[in-house]
Amino acid sequence: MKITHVKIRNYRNLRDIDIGLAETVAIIGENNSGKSNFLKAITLPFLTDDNTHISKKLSWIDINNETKKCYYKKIILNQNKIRNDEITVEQFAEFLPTVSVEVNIQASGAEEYYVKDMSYAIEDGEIQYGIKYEFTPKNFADIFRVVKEVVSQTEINDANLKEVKMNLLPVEYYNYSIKVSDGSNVSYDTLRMFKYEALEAERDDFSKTKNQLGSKFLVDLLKDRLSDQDKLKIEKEYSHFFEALKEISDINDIINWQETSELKGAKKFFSHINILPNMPPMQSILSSVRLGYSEEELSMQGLGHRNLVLLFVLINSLLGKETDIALNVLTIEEPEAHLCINNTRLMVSFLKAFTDKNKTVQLFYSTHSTEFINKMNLKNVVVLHNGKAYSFADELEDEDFAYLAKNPNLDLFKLFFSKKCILFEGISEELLIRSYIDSKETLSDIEVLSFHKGFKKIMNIWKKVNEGSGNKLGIIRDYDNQSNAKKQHDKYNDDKEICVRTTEYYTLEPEIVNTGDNYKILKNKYGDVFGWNDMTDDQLTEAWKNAKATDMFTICKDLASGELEGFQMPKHIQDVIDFLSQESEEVL
Amino acid sequence: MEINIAGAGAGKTTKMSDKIILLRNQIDAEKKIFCVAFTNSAVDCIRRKLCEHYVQIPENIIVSTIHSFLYREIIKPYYHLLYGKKYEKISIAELPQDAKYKNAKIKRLDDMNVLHQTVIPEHAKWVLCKKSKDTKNIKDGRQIIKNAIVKYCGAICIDEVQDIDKHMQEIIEELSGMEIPMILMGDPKQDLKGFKCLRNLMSIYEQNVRYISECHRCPQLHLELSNRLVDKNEKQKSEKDSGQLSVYYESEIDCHTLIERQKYDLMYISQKQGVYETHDYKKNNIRENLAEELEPLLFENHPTKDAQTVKKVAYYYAGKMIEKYRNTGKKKDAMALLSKCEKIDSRRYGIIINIFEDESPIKQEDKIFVKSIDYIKGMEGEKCLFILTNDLAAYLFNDNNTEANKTKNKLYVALTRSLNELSIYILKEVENKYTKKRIQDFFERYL
Repeated sequence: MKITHVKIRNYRNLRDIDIGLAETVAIIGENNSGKSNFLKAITLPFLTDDNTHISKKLSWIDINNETKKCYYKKIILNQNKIRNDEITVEQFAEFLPTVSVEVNIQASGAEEYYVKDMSYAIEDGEIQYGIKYEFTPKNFADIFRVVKEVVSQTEINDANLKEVKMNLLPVEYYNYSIKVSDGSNVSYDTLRMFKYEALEAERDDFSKTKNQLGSKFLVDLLKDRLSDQDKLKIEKEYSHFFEALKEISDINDIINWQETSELKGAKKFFSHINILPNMPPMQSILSSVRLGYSEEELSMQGLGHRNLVLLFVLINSLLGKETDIALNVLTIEEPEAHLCINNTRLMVSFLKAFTDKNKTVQLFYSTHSTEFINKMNLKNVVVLHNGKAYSFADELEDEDFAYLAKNPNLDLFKLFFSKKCILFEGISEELLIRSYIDSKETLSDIEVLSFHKGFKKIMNIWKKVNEGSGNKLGIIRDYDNQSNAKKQHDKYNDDKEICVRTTEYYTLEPEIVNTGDNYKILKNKYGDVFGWNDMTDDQLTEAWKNAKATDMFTICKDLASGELEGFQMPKHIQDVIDFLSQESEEVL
Repeated sequence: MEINIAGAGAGKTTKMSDKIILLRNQIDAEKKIFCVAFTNSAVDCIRRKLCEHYVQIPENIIVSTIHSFLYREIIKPYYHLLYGKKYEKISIAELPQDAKYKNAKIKRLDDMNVLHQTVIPEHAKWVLCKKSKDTKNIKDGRQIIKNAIVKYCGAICIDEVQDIDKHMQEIIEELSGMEIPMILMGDPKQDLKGFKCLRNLMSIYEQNVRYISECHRCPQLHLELSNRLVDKNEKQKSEKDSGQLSVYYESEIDCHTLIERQKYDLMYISQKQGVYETHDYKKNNIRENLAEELEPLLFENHPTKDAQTVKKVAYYYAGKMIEKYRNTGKKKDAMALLSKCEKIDSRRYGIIINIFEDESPIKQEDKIFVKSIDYIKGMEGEKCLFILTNDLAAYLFNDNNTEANKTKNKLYVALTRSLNELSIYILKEVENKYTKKRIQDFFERYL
């Protein structure tokens, strides 16, 4: 069972999200892009065992700012009509924003039984199942009354809006509901099979505070796994404990009131006062345990260990619930938090094994770690940027995944979220560009990524992900005698966000030698060492091409340490570098 | 499809639960076994049997009444996908006898997205089998829905299958055609509604029929009587050779006296007649019924009120009106409560006033409270009193072996209730028609 599609409207910075999802969902994005909001939103249509978690009733700040802005604009525009009752409640209702999270759910095999009451349509030969969380006004007339009251007192304008904005959108008249996607009711019996567990980013002190976050999962585990016999034993032990307590602490020794009372019969009355066992529910007894590591309390452990132990216990507690759960949405913010590389890998493999085995659990996590992006399963990736989401499963075809997976050291984080990034093909290019950038301090913020050919797809996604971000991408590609491919790539070149340049020659050497004074500089510096003294430029190029790879290395090393004064980069590379560095000046 | 035919007292419920337990070990653990019975008490009975074995009924065995099964498993999840309408509620209100009023009421409920329980099987049939004027889209959709059901439906067991109507028969055949294992258990001799659908199934699927002939309830003596009504295949035998049969005549002993003296634990009559009052229909809820009719009226009169308020007020009115009727015994007084506050047209007035039950002209102290045979189906007693009326006497005394019908089936049920003692009370109307001599001659063989 899994969520295959999600639509989010007006929740915090997520104004309008409509994406397909894969089995597991890995959310990547810069800080403040909306990753945590996405993880919270996805849990809204589901129930949880833990009622201490975020309430499903939202507040004013949970409604998208842009949406609120639009709403206020309409109020300001129509305030006269509202004041004079020239607008009906129904018309007014159209202005009011609602927050919604709608999920489509797909079940396979016998699981279909659990979703049957969420059916809402037949499309393309399949029954569609889905539920929708909505935060909506419960009575339009009430809100209309409040708003009318506000606008009748003062003329609202952009300046004084902030003084009354809460009253102009009184969310206390809002209510939430969970329904089938077509708006019909769904019973609690159906919904209770669909749950979520959320592990938020602020979990570092889980083993420190009295309200230990970890304990809940531990208690769940104990409660599920203890047999009836075990529980009976606990109850017996508890009454032993009580008997012992009674024996040691005679109530009469502690509270002695008979002697002092002057009332007749008081002595007899008081003698009946006694202590009785107050057998707490199993849950409370179990709650008095806490997690430890070796003989130490977990709070004595480092943050990394705590995070690791917490996640392992949480996930174990989910395992026990398979029978009465159709789908368990598990959201984890940054599972890599505080983990060293070995423990990160441990966590990655643990999560993978767990999700492979448990078809009732769908894992959603946000991450900044490449370890958590499985190259073989890039369909899982959802990129968030400025409240917009792009799912690789929607944006890319199978061949694109194959292509991306083929790229060695694919680092999606550097690729999509660097301020300035150059992509290029080939080892020699990498050496040269890195050396050049190392030689200039002002270029140190440029990320350099070697890439397998086929930049178009990547530019497509990059553009979406980076729209309006101010980030820049430079592409240096080989010509390879394919003028058509060059034309197609050049279309992306806008010299604002993306700069695409193509080599003229097959290899890099003639490009270098034919640029500026490079021929002279190279001959002077390496004439004796490489035997280039009596060569023309063409001969030198030819000799260099046929030389050992170490020659290129030597030249680049010298370039990096500033020994090749006056050396110029080939024009197509220089263009890209100029494009990227120019931008940095503008920003400054 | 497996059809098990077992007469009264054969231990159908035990056999059914044994079959379910066996089935559960055979099918895919993820799939569900639906176990369906016709009444809540039959459902409870199967649940008890299953609990004896499992302690707690496993998640994948779902026991429910037939209406609940059809609504929750077929109509609620799928009906709207084909016909666009989603029902929000089931009504169990009693319907008017007159077919015209009855259909009008069902239609009124339907307009409020309320489905009356009597039309549940038909609506379920529309989902699974056919409805006239089905478009290609609907037919395609139906196939998709059936494919979905097959994925999780491991088997369906139906108890008391003689109570199915023609819609249900089609549904059973359809489900069986979808290769869902079906186990049916029932007794065509106890088909008191006269649907004859089990007989139909038995003749269509002749090779799938199994007969269970033993009877654990009745003494052989009683079976001698009941077997006279039964086909060769279905004759029963019992290991109980004790047991009593007695005959009393209304002309000789007053019924009040007899009951006083004998202390029967089960007394029954074909149907309510004269002083014999059968109060088993009290269960129909007049208040619900009234409230349902009041709702649309209140909606019309108060269009600005929300649905919840209207429901509340309708239910309140209904309670007040029933109280008034009980106190005054006058329907018009009860109606006055309503018409005083609400505008009501004559059509609505007629509908609502007819919901109240008529008071019987017989004095309360003369009434003899017994059960109808419809009601005691499935029950048994150590000492039973069967009040014989003319309708059933015709089948008891006449050897003409007419085809089974619901009256003949009632007689079969009446004769097979007792664990030990069965008393037959001959009403005067019977004695007048058949003469005491003939009746005595008839019973001589058995007494």
